[in-house]
Amino acid sequence: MMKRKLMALVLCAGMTTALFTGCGGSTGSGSSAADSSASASSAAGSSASAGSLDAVSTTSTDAAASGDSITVGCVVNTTGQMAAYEVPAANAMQMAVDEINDAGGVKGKKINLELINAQSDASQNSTATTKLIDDGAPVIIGECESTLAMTAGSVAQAAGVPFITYGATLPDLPDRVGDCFYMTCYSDKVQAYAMAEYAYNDLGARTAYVIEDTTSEYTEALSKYFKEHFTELGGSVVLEDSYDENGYTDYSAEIAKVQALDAEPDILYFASFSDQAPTMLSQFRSAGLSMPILSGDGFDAISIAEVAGKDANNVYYTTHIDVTSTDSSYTDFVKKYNDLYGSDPENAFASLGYDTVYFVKDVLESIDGDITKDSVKEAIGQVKDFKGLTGAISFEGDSHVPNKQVVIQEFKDGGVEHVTTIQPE
Amino acid sequence: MKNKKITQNSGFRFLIVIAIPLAFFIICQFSMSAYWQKMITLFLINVLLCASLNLTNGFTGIFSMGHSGFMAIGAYFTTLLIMSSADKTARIEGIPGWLANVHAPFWVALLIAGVVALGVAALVGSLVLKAKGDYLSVMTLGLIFIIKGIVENNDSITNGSRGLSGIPNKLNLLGVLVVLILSLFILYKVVHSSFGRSMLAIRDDEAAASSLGIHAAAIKILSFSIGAFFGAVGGGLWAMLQGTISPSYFYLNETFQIVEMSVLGGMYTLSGSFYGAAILTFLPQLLSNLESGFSIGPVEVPALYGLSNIIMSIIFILVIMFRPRGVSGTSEFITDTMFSAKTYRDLFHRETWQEFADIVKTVFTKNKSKAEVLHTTEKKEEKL
Repeated sequence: MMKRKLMALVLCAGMTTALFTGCGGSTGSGSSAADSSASASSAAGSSASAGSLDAVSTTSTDAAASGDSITVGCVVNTTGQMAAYEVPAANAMQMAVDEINDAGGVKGKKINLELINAQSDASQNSTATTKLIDDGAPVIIGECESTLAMTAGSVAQAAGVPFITYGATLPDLPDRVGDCFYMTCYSDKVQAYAMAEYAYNDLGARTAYVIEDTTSEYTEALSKYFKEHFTELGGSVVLEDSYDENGYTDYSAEIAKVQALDAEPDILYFASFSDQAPTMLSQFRSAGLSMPILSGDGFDAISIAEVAGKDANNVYYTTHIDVTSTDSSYTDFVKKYNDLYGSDPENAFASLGYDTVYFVKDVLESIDGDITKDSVKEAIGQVKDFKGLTGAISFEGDSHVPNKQVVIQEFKDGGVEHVTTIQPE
Repeated sequence: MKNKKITQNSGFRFLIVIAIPLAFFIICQFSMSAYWQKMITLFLINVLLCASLNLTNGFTGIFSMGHSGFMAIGAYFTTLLIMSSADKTARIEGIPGWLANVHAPFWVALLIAGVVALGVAALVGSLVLKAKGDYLSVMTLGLIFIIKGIVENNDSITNGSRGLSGIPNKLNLLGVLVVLILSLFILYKVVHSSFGRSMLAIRDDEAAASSLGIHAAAIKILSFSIGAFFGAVGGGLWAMLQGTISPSYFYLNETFQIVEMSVLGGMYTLSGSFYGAAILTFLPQLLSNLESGFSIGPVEVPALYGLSNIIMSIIFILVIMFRPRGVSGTSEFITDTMFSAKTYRDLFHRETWQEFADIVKTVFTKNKSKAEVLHTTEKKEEKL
């Protein structure tokens, strides 16, 4: 009994001291910013296993200590549910920052990417953003899930710090969060509209069947905007269906409803995620439904074509980047990514993250005076003609969502083929 | 001389449990960075969530997994009551007029949220608590699915899966601390009442307890409901702290996290919630710094995403192996010190401090005498 009490006591004391030491660092705000940025940049050096970047990381450490670097905050979820989407983005962002620093930085100052893993957890996303603001980041980038982006974005909004998401595509996010929130990706409205136009004009579809995964607001938005624009153009949605289960696998009921229609619809629109896609495609195809199947950037995963094989033929999806591009800027990016991380970029979020860092660089370069959250916010609207891998990014007028190109690709015998690139007006 | 342990000295207990932490919280509130204020507020909220779960899981032996469901009730009711009508109309499409106009101060909102959760728990409890053990856990898990479904599908009230943002934060760190201490005080009194002893009796042997005239069903439902009340209050505080809520935030992850805290800290005590909440609030944050790679002397450890999860699970396994009752075991060190009048009464007796000084002195002399003994035995060995 005594021993137990003693142990509890020791733990309690340990806890208290841990709290004190933990907080002690952050009370002196100046030194702590330097400390944490130093640790972040030395970490950056070791994460780039190529080794050639070690020199950079040491210089940027010194620079951080003397206030000669610009901290760019970054919230990513490299573990947990969002890891598959965000690890490639985190890798590419680190790569972009190292490239910029190798080339001399921004106006002679190094960029110090302070990257925090928020583990796909709501409260950690919120506290991570608070920490970045405390550390003096004048701009924060990150997130590719809309709800988490809303949480992190709202924290930044409250502090007046601009927040740029590279992957959260919900169209009304900037309205819901506030005027500090920007997106470097197109919105779900843009991609669903583009697909509706492609279906109506190029595929000549007049009737559509839409199935929607209601577990996510992303898929809900896709289906909503596709239906909206397809009917605006003159087509009709003859049947709608939905399922609300992660890992839903038996589509026989949905298929039976499609087959019971008087006439088969011209196209099927699947507002769903990549993990369900192979099962869905195989079941619909083996039921004899061979019309084109369309989807959004949730289908941007080569694994679908690899698993579903021929069943994935005649499947069109909207995405951010043409992966078959032979443009040297893209092939160089892929090669460099492959050298550093041992594989080609796993999805479009790598290119989006990479573009976002370069966009931030342009923003920072356009600032004449001090780099503060206000001057950055001012400058974001001023950057025109930014050309990235995923297209041009600029914020016209009061818009916080760029009017970006939408790439349509199709699966062909286990591979991917580029169909067309649509530039919305 | 009879040796009294330092942990039994009221002066020492007062210093370590009340005076030092209180001073620390006040310093934190007024001079620390927003990040640390947020982390510590989150810790306090986690303590409340965990302590309220301990009431059902540890004291009554109802292993509930439904706590995040009650959090969701608390979070949504609080949010809808404290948000301004303009904000509500702007953020929730098609919100009914009466709901947009209803408004309450935050403490009323927290109370209402708690009472609603209490009602839901009583209703659900009367159906579910007939089951035992694993069956009961699975049924309470079902509660989370139901609540998530309701929240997601009532778009005009909750804004559905899109969630709500812009929740005003009405309480700072010290405010949350006051709510926590009030709640813990009530929980402490509940546990130490005859009602509390009935709960323990039911946990240890329900048949025997019933044979002694304890109305097991009623007591189980009541303890489940009280736990739900404080779970909802915690949920309301959580929503105010984070500023955004979404149905996906009150799902399996959150519930497992509270259960983990409870088991790790010691679910048979209220004090355990402090240890559990401290470990699970601060450790993942500290460990996530290691994930981007670090070096120990000349050894470079590369970036390894997920490292913190691995370390957390190892800690969890070790604690369960060596301290199956959690860190606190059966000791109510923290709450006993906080809420027993003896602690405060003793502070005004000179003997307490005299004793404190004596113990500190003996601790040092003891070490010395041990060293002397060691020295002499060494000498003896040399002679031999």
